[in-house]
Amino acid sequence: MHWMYSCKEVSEMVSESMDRALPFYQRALLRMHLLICRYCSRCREQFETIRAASRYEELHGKELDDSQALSKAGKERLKEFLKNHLTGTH
Amino acid sequence: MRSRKSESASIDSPETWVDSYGDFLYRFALSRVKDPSIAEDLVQETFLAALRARENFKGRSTGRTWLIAILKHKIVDHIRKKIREPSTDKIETLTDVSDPDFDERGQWQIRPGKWAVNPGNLYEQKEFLNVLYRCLAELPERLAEAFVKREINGLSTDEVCKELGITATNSWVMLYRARMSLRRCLENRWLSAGS
Repeated sequence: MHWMYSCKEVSEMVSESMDRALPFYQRALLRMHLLICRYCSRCREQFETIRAASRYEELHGKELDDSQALSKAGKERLKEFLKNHLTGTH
Repeated sequence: MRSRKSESASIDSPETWVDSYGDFLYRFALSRVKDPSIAEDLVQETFLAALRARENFKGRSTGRTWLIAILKHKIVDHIRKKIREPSTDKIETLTDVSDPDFDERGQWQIRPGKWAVNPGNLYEQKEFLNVLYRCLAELPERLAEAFVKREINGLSTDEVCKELGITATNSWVMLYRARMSLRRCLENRWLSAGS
């Protein structure tokens, strides 16, 4: 353990903190670095934006264009396909 | 709103999938790939994969969420095949050997820019999502897999480790690399195109 983290280490820790809870001392040092380092703060914002965007559609699937739908023929094809594979697997 | 019980019940009866989930999956696929026939193919591949993995479902999410998770994998695979980067493996070795983001002292070499995207308002940023999917498809396959499981499908780190058969430390390294590559790719593709 050391006191001053490099930006590379900080970026690694920022990412890690998104996947597990960091130990207290690491969190404190990380926060300090982020307070004074604009670029690492931006890196963190970018990671957060990527996360928000990746998870976004999960919540907002209902905002998809409702006018789009499978064609009747498409549905029939899919049903037929499922039926064939169902009998195939059992 | 369907109850969880009826959701998992309908997962048990694949003959109802097309009517219950078909349109939603199709719309979702179409929002990413634009081509109706490819969107239909992706729905079909999703159903096939779901059929094979039905016993893994166990009702831990709604049927729709589960199918969408599978579909997202299929979309990333599809985009990857389409752009087929012959040098994908190289990217991994490249990041292994020297990290282009930092100098040898660990200082930023290419400084992160300020992104003009508001995560709370992503609906207006469809282009950002499109570029994100493209960037995702350009990641080395293992990294993309870890990222999709963790961030797009929202699994816990433990679950990601189990599914990929890797250690926790390994998963943090992979997710870090994935995030850094995506960040870089988005800066190059989206910011330069968007401004």
